[in-house]
Amino acid sequence: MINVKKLLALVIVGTFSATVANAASNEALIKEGRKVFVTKKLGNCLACHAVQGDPSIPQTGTIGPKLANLDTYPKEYIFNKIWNPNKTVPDSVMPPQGKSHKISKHQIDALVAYLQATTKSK
Amino acid sequence: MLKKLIKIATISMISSTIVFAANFNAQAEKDRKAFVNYFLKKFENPIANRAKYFPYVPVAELKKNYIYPLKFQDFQDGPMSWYRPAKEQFAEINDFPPYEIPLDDGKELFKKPFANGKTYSSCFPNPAIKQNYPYYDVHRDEIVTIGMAINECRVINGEKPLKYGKGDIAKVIAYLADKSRGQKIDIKIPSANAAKAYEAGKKLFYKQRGYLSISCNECHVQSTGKRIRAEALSPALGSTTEMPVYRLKWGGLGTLQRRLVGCIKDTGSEKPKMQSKPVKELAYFLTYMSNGMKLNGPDTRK
Ligand code: HEC
Ligand code: HEC
Repeated sequence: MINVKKLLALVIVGTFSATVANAASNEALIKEGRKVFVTKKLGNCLACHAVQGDPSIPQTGTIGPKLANLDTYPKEYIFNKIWNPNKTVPDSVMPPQGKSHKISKHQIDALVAYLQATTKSK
Repeated sequence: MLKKLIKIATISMISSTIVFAANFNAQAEKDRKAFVNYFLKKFENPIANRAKYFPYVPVAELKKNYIYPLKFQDFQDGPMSWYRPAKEQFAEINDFPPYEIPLDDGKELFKKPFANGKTYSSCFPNPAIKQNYPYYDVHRDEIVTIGMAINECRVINGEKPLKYGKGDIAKVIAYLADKSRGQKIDIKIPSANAAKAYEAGKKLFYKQRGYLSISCNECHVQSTGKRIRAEALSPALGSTTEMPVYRLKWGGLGTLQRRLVGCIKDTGSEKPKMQSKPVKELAYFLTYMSNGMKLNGPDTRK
């Protein structure tokens, strides 16, 4: 009665399309992250940071470090830094844009995805 | 003998009054010296001192675009004091300074009689006085800015006060600034309350504010010599010498207060009113920090 082969095929197809969908939504998240990074009314991160691996961002500032090798950092480290940089660096010039609700948790997740995908260590 | 005693007592009273009077600015002088020293050190040799002052600025950019060493008076030029591309761009613009027409207007306004036949000269017989503003008036027990002085002059002569920040008031200030060009800023702290006002202004300067949680100090001391996007950040030292300033972005002249209110808004704070107590205190502190620098306003900025 049970068509194992058919079931198996269904499961495989299902998993496969989920992976594709995941990749697609991660792609979308990265794209959104870049937008938050470069848009003045959103993160405005380019005001202070250049990004390794994304030299096409025009006129990045020099107040903060050029962001690099962030794929080697834990996600939470980057999230927390963006949420409230003063926690680890009390006199940091970087604004706590998560804590002050200028950008949302989802937007910070997007920034983390963008930065980890872009600033890859070799 | 008694005469002699009285004489000694009187002398010591006078001298203790002098010492006491001089004391009102003791803290401010200490602050100012440290302030000036910070900027001189920072721009002595940015390449050698990169780790301390410019850790994130690429060495190539330091070599190509930074002007150094800077001397005390050099800080009058805002972002053009240290950033070569800005300096080159502005040298060209100031071949035909855009502030010249509003400055001429200011001269005319200054000389034009009020309805009662008097002019601004009745209040400002010597127009070379901008180096003393804002000053602390001990009788009124408040800070008096140059904008206030102009409007008070109008009111006692039966005219309506002008709107602060831009337009005619900025033009009249431009005339007074031009007449005061080359005078050294000389802000005094004549009383205990004046010292309190100075301290209040200082606190505002260092306070992180707005949803960006950022202070004047972070942009105009710590980050001076760095770029926020393409914008070279000016030193707080000398940042009032060029006022009122013709900003290309404004397409006209604006006063120090206009600039301060704009920068406060940029931190994500609510915009304070011009001539309100905190803005005056901030201006008093900031101008005191540039004591001894020569005025060079009006000038041009981006
Ligand atoms: C006004 C300047 C400024 C702005 C705007 C700014 N930063 Fe920063 N950022 C800094 C400075 C200065 C540091 C170094 C000190 C510190 O770690 O807090 C830093 C550090 C960081 C770090 C840590 C880098 C490392 O290697 O440890 C990350 C990640 C970062 N910023 C991301 C961002 C993102 C994302 C945004 C925008 C949402 C942003 N920054 C906006 C100035 C800024
Ligand atoms: C987020 C960064 C930032 C903060 C915070 C900030 N400013 Fe500014 N300020 C600027 C920029 C950018 C300019 C235009 C370029 C320049 O002159 O530095 C400017 C210009 C100025 C100028 C004109 C300088 C000149 O040479 O014409 C003054 C004065 C000034 N700011 C005062 C203040 C004061 C006082 C505060 C605090 C209430 C403050 N700023 C906070 C970014 C900032």
